[in-house]
Amino acid sequence: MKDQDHMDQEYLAEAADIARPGVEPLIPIFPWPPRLRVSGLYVASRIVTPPIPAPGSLPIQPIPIAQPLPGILPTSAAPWQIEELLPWGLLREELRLDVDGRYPQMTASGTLYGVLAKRVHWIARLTASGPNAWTGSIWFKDGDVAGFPYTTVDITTTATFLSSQRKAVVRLSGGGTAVRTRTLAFKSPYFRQVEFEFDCATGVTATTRIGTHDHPNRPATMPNETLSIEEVYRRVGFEVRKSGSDSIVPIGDAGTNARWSDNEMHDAMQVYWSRFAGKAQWSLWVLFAKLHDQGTSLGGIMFDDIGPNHRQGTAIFNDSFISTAPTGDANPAAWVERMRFWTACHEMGHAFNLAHSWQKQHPPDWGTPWIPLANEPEARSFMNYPYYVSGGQTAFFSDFAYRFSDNELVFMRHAPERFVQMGNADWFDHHGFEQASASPEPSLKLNLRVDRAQATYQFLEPVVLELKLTNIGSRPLVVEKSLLSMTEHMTVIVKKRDKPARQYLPFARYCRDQQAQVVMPGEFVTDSLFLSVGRNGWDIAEPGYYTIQIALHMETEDIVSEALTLRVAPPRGYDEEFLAQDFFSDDVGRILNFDGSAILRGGNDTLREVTDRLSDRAVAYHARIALAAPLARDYKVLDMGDRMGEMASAKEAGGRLRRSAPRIEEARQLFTSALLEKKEQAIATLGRTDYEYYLGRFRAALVEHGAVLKKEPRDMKRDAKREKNGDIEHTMRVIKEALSSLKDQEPVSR
Amino acid sequence: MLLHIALQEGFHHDEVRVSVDAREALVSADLTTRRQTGYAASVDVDVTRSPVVVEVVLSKRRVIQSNSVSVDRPTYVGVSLTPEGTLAWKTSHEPFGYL
Repeated sequence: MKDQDHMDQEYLAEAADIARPGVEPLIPIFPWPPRLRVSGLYVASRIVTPPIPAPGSLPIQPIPIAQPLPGILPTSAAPWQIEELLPWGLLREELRLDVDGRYPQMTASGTLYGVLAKRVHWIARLTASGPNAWTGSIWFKDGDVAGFPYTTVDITTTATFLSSQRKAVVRLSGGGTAVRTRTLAFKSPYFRQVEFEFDCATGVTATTRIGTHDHPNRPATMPNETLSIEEVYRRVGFEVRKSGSDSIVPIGDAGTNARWSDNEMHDAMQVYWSRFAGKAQWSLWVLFAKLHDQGTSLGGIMFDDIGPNHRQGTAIFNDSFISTAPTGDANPAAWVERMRFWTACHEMGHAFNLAHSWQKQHPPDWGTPWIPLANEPEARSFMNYPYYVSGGQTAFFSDFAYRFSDNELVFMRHAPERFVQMGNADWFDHHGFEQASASPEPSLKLNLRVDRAQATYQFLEPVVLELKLTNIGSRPLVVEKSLLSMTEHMTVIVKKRDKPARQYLPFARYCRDQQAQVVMPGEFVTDSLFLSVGRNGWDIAEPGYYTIQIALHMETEDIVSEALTLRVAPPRGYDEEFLAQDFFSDDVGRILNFDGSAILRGGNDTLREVTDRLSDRAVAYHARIALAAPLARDYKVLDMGDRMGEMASAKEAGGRLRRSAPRIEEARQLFTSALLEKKEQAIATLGRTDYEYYLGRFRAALVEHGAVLKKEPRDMKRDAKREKNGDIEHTMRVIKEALSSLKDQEPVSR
Repeated sequence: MLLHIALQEGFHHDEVRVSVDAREALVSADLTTRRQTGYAASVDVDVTRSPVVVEVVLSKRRVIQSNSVSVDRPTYVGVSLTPEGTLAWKTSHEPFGYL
């Protein structure tokens, strides 16, 4: 809500800008009333988490279930209801509408983010087709375009001072397919977010702002203002933030000659940049130093073409030629400051993947341009050299409005993210979750763990991950209690080395009553994830190395885990290779996933064979649990008689529910063998969370079938507390007592 | 007198030889322009007469061009390879700056 208020205030201030004298008007002042600006980012998301309330009030709301409902949203709908309209398979949809505000490009671009690498990006040139309505042809498509045949877009916006009620209706048509209409909620007047960090070498001052009238050689219409680098990029369309605190880089890090080589700067970036990470991110480090190894001829450089993630660092050299004003200049000091400021903006432009103005057309061996472009040798752009234009730097600055060219603006605002974002590279092999909307300062951290010293799994052993979500912020957070069990909130990627990445798709999704839980700073919630097999089949089966990464989709951001690499060992012998043919089946996968089945007899036979022939192997623990669980309780089976397997309703087939009696003694033996005999091995393969869960089920089954827990009331209270806290030893003692009590009684039903 | 020769835009794994009045001044077997700056390599030559003939040879591309350059004061010559495969020359009396 606070963000919403902030956006509303920003929007009102923006509207006030319209009539502010001396500043480039966002839109014409007349006619009155002024038109409200509609440019910016609009989004729809499949995230179904309702807004997280402030601690103290914990309203319980049902979780809306997303449904594929094409169509236009009623105008009264709240933003989070809009999110329901995304079809499954799409995680997020964005529209960048660029028709007013600073340097409007009459362009719209959209991105449809799907699971895995599925993504479609389109760009259209627009013309106005009515009040708050635009139409245009789609001239650029990128990504998984086979399912995106559209050729035309029509956009209608709702303009209101309340940003929470602003939305855009996007109608895609053409290409011989049905019209696709979506409603997206306004999110930001900016198209994208980026953060900068300005560090200085010892004895160097960063020029990050200037007065636009400080130097007399300027456009006559130039507004008189103090302009910052951040503001330059805000006018490009980025919501600019500063990361870390601007710090001093000791000159010793430049080596004994006190000049900086590219490698020295790259090393300094790794040490002093608070955001350094080996991944693509909308974040940039800017170093202000004295001189490069190349000497005074190098005014600045985007030095970061080292390693797998380029374009994350730039440098400006204050003592280079940019600190020498032309002979006879009217205000040499202001000229130098302006040149340093200009150079900083220029080098940062390279980090956004902008070429020099005369490099737009280039030989094929330089690489493929994103679109064919013409050189702009006379452009009054940050990306041109002032002294390259006709008339030299005097002519350049007399007509320079501290901006990028239109082509460059289109690129930074509308090109696919991977072309522009710092450090971007090929999908997944070099970084994870290109589409994740991760916060640079997340309040939660998601860890993937395994209950063993090394993440090595035996052949056939199912992989159970432990998920741990920790509040790493300074404020209490309210999260859904079973958030980590709700796989519909997650994207789980499994990538076998040298194979394409796959998305883990669980067999089932569960609808739960929502229960909020306060997680204090430093506290965490945990859960398990049975990962080996899902609707995609067996994602983890063959021997080899696998990389696992999970994005947890929250209301306003994605929490992306570090990647976990695990290894599946080769089969130990003939028995494992032989059993693998039956084990890696859909039936066995479902039995293991759902902790047993009374129906899938073939799968159960395979698991029995596993417990017989591979009794000392980790997979046998899973097999025993899956065989024991359905035996420990009444089991209801739909009996379709002779028509089992036919596509017929139960009523037509005369189906009836048949009750299968528990076989507690058999279950007891299997549970005991799986859980009590070799506890450490059981925990290692089942995972601590699931181990505790199975212990609880075992104990409940024993009690249900006649075991007596001999405890005083006072002890019971204490024991309940210990069980709540996950005291495994205690639960095991309770179970062993229960087993002893059973021995003293008549045999229970078998 | 200073003659600064800079190889600038367009080079990509090129075999380059630069000579001044038939004297070898710069040789590179694998020259590539750093596109962030538009700079590939440079050499400073102390010349004693003017004009001089600067010759640039790109062996693999079979490009040979020469230019007569007047050096009666410090002179800066920039040579770039155009997309069409020809050499573009520019002469200045101010040092080149790269950004």
